[in-house]
Amino acid sequence: MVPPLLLALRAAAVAVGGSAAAMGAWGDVGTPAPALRSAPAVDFTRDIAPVLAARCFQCHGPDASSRKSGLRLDTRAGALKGGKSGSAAIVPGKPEESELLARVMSTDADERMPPVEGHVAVTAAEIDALHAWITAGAPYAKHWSWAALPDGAARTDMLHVDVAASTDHHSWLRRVHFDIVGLPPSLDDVRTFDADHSPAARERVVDTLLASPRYGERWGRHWMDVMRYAETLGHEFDYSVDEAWRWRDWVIRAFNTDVPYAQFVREQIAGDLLSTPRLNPADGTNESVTATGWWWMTQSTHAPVDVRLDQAERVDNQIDVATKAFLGTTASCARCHDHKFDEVSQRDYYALFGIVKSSRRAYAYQDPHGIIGLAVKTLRMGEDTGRTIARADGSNAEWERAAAQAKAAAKPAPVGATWTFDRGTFDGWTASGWAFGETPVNCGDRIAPDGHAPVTVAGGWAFSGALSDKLQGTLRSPTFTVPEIGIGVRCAGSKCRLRLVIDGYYLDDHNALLFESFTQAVDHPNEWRTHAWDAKRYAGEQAYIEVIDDGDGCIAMDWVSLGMVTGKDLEPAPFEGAPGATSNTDADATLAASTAPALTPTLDIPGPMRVLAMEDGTGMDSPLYVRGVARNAGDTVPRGMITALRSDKPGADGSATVTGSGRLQLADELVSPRNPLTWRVMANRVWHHLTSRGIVPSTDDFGVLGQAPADKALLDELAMRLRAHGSVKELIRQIALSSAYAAADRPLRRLDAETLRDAMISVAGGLDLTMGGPSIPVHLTDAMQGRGRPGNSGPLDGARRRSVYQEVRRNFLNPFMLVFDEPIPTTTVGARSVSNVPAQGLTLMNDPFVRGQAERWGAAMAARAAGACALSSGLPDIAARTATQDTVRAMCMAAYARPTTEEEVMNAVAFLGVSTDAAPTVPDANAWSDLAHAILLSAEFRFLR
Amino acid sequence: MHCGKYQPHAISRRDMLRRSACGFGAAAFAGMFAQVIRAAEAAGSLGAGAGASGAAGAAAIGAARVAGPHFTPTARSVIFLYMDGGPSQMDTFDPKPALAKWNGKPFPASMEPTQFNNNGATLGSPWEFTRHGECGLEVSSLFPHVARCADELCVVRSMTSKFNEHTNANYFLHTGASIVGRPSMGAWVSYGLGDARNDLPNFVVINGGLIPPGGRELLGNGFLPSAYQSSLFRPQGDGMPNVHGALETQRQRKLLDFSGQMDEAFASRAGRPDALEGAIHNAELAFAMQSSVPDLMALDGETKEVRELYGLDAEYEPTRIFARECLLARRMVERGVQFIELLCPQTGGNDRWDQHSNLKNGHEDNARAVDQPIAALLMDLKRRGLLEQTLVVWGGEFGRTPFAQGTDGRDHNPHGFTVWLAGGGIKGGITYGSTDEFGYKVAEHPVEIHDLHATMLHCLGFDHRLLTMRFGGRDMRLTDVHGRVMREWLA
Repeated sequence: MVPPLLLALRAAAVAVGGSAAAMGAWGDVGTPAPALRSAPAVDFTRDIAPVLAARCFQCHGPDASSRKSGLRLDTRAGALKGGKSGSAAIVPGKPEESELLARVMSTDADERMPPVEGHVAVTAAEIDALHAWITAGAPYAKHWSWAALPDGAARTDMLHVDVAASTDHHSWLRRVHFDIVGLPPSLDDVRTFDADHSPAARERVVDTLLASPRYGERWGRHWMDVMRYAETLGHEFDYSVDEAWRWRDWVIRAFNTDVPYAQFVREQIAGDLLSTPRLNPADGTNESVTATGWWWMTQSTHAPVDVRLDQAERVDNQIDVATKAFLGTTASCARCHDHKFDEVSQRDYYALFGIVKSSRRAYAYQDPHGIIGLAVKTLRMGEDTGRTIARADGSNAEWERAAAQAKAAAKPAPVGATWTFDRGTFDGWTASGWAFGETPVNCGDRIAPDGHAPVTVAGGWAFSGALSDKLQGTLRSPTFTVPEIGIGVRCAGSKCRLRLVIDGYYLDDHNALLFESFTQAVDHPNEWRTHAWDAKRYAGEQAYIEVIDDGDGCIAMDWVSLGMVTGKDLEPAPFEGAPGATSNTDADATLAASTAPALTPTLDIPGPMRVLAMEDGTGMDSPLYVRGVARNAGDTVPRGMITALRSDKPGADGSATVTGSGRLQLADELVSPRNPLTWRVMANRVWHHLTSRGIVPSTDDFGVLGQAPADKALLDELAMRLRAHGSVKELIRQIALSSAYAAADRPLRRLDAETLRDAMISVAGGLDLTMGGPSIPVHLTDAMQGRGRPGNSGPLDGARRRSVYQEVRRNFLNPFMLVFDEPIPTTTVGARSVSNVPAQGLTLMNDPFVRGQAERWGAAMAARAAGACALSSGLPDIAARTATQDTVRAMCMAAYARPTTEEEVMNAVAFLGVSTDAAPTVPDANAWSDLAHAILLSAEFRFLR
Repeated sequence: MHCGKYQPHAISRRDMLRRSACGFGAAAFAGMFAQVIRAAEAAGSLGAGAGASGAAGAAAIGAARVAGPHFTPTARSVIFLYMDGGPSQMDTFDPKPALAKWNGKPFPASMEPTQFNNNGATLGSPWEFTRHGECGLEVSSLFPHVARCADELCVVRSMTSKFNEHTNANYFLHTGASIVGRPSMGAWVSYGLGDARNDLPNFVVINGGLIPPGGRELLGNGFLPSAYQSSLFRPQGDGMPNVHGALETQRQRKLLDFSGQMDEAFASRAGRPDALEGAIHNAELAFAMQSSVPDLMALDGETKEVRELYGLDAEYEPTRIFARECLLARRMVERGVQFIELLCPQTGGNDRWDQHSNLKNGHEDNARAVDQPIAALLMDLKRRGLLEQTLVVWGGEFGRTPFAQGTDGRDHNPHGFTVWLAGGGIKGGITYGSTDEFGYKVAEHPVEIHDLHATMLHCLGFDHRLLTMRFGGRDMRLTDVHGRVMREWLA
């Protein structure tokens, strides 16, 4: 929550007044009126817009399709013009002549608006406000969050208000530790802070915390909520999303290295398309590509009955998350109709839809430490040793003969072949990885793949074995419309696959139902075959072909045809004299492994690292789906950003300049300094995480139905700072060091699920701070049943790694996390709910994990006390008492980060069962464990002041 | 009509108050609260006695809320037998001989759009209907056991929904709105009735295996205080996780007492915020549940006759699961739990009652799972004198089409379907409303989900228009601005 005192002090600045000058459409107001320093009597944003939205917009709002009587009240022009009745709904300055007022006040059921049946009447207070507003000239204002950020320099005083009292320094320390790194301060942290009396003490703490790798783990988890991070697809079988964790690690690194927010956004939207990708300094891999993995953390079902609908659902979730996460906008509301409340038309939705639909799911190949790249270089340079692609250049008579032979025997591709690879290009296909090289091999080329004797290529092939069988890569076709009569690929190869991807559907990886044989193994090194797909059922859908070499084999492909072959022609290859030359030559050249003399490969090439990523497909505008029905295509909508947020309005023809999918342009629009939402939304998220309540509490909805900012000036201030310096760390630093943050009377906050778990393990003394890597498998309890249940349970204590590294399986979410409100990953959750249910009490008392930590801590404390007692030279009873009391103090310090009162020590000692007058020994481990458990259970441990 | 994509921010009463306070400053907070309460009381809109809770936020933390019905109720508890996926009306309780005549032929009436747009020919019911009870209710052979309770049932054949898609329709059925974020009916009921007892939750969902599309949010408290959210039970084992004490009771009691002592000191230092008080209260509630839940779950004390009646040892595993659910529901009613929703078990490879194909096998499996246990529940409640104070409601989120989807399935149909009610002040042995000759659309006396809700609340002693919670500037109700009490159904 916004610190109440700050609120009180800033109450006057809550509203931006509307302006009579703001004529015309609500959406066309370029410049907001200057902020009024005292709240106006009636304010459009605060008092009027919510009433119009709630009472009128269902029928008289931006959605033209459901508009009644031709009247729209979301624009001033519309209200002044009126509807079919001809009379103006609003006559500025003249409430008594305004039809709107007359209708909402009418006692005649036929006249009254909103209609009596099924609607709530406008209240007396709302009528008063409308009256006052019309009297004042009925000024409209652009919805506050969509209006531009103020120009000018950020002011510095906003966060440094006088507060009645600052919290005590131990509470501040605990607060700032949990908020920035999600862990309690250690005994050393408290001691250091206690000893530092300089004015910069707090700054030092904040800077140290922001520099800690623990910061990225804490704030990375916040971002994972926003992007609905999950490692499985949910639905019936809860299939795994391979390599999902690499995106999680990317997030953590991005926060730790404080990637500027604009870059952070651009990478996630279009990291694969950046001209200069950001490289991981540790291993040189492309960080920007890794950033795109979140797109594919949608829920997904296998065997969709309607694959186009399935795609529409997936893209809808992707749009939903992208627009909520970066814009605080529920664009997804415009899937079936214009947004009822915000400036997002249905066309806007399909402009975004086209962008996402033109992009593809891919596992991008990464080359840690550049080892593969070096191998490729070495292989290419190795002409003298014969490991190269060579053109016959007259220098070698034998080559010349072979080349001439090959060329003479080569035949043109069959008539109707859609793509061939005999002209030195991939013919519009895109290659990723290394195996396929930059171009196909040409007929007559002399090649000597690593480990094989030289041979002459007998045709123009897309070929993944020219340099080495070990190189991996994928070749993807342009997007095409599935023909009625089948699709054929002629190829030879081993350990490779061909795959037909329909409308982006990819779960056939897990379950081929309804997509049987869409992935075909290619394992016929000595024989050319035509692989065909019978995709009749999907005729008319959009598809592309993947040629995958992700192992030790290779594949050669000379042509691809759409609509020439049918399933029954699959084997044997039906085309006599197909391109290439004699089959012997084919085999020799294609897969020298079996026929050419095998040599020993000279290079040990490692497999690449794979990251879940988005890649560009063929850029194609999408039709608008009428009423959201995927099979009901309407007008085609040019790809692009939501119109009202475009920095560069499209040309008169409505077209915007997009290349490829248009994602890069979208990314640039999102981070445009002129886009007001991106900065406001993120600044608000930062505030939310530091105070547990955003200045706009509806963190993911800054629209008309979202909540109003408690202090718009403050929010804008923070947004402008973020826009100016781009540093999330700096924003956190400024807020954490503010007097508002330190105010004493902030509401109590409960630790969230991850923090509570991490804090328990931390105080118990066993937190493993290893970073990154595959997730710790979820611990399965008996109650966690159902399809997709993993075969093996993970460790009860999650290997004592931080919670951010625990696996997130949608259908098998960790019950401990769930009971403390970890969100179910479906869409953006910027603000978690905070529930309070008996199940939490049961968990804290009885969950074996909690008890386990208590016992671990208890055992350590028993040992500590016994050790201190043994070392003491005093009388045994005094030594035991002193050791016990000291240990109690240490425990309280660890849990609460504050000194313990004498009364608390006495109570704890009594609880431990130590008689204060005659106890020669320290309590046993059971007693200590119970004390530890009581502390873990205590409210002070679970709440932040 | 709202598309359901917008997910309102879940806001508690405290949030609402804070939100109201924004812009006025904290100083106004306390005064504002009093004002809201007074205004609400003046408008009679907080439900009987809601204002009597006094201190700000008391209702928000789960402390006993002094509340209760508006008038003498006929039902004390509700058992909602939720047939997830949408059972077919013309194959269960709404016989349509015309379908047999048209079977295999093009559907003779106009067809509304269907979810899968794969409409086939008219599909006759594979099951025979026969008359049962003194009332002569026609029930299909899918429900031979329930048919024996015909004279207890009020079969509503003219139910309608506004939504054709599971998630929206589920939200609508559960919360009265098609969007995420509204309180589930069980939450409204426990909010209205207040805490009946302290060692069992008032709103329980027994999860037989399938959480319906829409997820836990279907069963949530929405903007009502979190104390009114449902507790999810499993029908086997401990029922709830972690109800087994990790330590023997005395030792745990001592531990809790010590922890409570520290909490007391902390609360007093922190100024006793309600979130803290609620958390402390919950620890005690949790302790009590360690004995009340195992006691509830201990079915071994039930007689052999009862076991057989419900089918606890039935051959078919889903029947055994639902038998446990029904028996537990009875035991919960005996213990004063106010709202119990039963979720179906997984049967075979079926996707709930959602038979888009393979209607015959799918419905037979699902009916086999629930028929005997439901009948047993009705009979058992009746002979124990509990049926008259327990409202039992059976139904899905919509019905199914009279024409095939593909060749052997049925698509979703919100235009007319069947639910039934029994006990708790409902007149038994009657049917209400009707569908057209194909069972497709309502022919007479259409009933809305809001009407069902209004009537359920009426049986519990509430005027549905008065059971409200102010949220987002409106006095929200389960029935929104709709709903009529179906007096024709009342005994």
